[in-house]
Amino acid sequence: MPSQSLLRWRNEGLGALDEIEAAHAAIGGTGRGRRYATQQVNQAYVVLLSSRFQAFCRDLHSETVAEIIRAAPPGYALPLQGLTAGRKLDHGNPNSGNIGHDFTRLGMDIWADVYAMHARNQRRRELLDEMMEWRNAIGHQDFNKPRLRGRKTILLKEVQQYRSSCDALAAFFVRAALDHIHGVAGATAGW
Amino acid sequence: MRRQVGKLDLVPRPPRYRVGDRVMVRFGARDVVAEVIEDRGPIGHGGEQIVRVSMPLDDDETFEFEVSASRASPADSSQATNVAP
Repeated sequence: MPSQSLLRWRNEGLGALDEIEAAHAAIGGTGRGRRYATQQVNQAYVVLLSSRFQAFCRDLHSETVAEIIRAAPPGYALPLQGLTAGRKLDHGNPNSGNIGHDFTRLGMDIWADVYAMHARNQRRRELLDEMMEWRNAIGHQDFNKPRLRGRKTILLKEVQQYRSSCDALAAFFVRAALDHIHGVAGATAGW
Repeated sequence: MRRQVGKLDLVPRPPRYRVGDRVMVRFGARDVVAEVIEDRGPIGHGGEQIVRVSMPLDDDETFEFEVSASRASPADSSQATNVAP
């Protein structure tokens, strides 16, 4: 049985992002007018990608806690329920710090775990935080960020690279969470 | 360009609880009444519904956490917010 969080990401999340790409492709015209319109779509794409990835990370955290609770004796319900209280991912962006913070509460070092699985995950983490810079710049309409190097426009191929990176990280996060569940709740626990 | 996402489907299951429902949940050594504040969807084991609930700690503070639908039961409207063991 696959992770429900991953199913939701792959179906609802990526499905919604496909709609944005379809909207980008459907924009007619030529020259400056089209470039302006597609830029608005690209910026919306970054914000939607960020929110969908946040939802995935939050779902995976909830799913992991639920699996650990399921395998725990009833007396452990109180401290385990507290693991979903006051999460950064409930209100904050899915930047690497917030993701690491919330999974640390489960006893995981999620970034170290996914680094050990694939060397490219370090670069994917950098891309995730770069995407968060864009998301915040777009959300606040403040592009004066050193990491953006004075740019105010983002290309479709850049957003597609962020999306690909998020999708790969999603799969590695699920593997890391399942390994953790097996470690704390036994080999038969989990999805 | 449109891409085929795949044939994976979430397990379709009607939600057991909705936002605003009052539920009884085990909280440590006692049962407490809490209010459902978010339907997190079918992300639990085998597609089980998970809900986020809010439980009053005192007049000013609440404690929010998540619980699987199978670990909650509907609370009678006459039940007090916090129930003695």
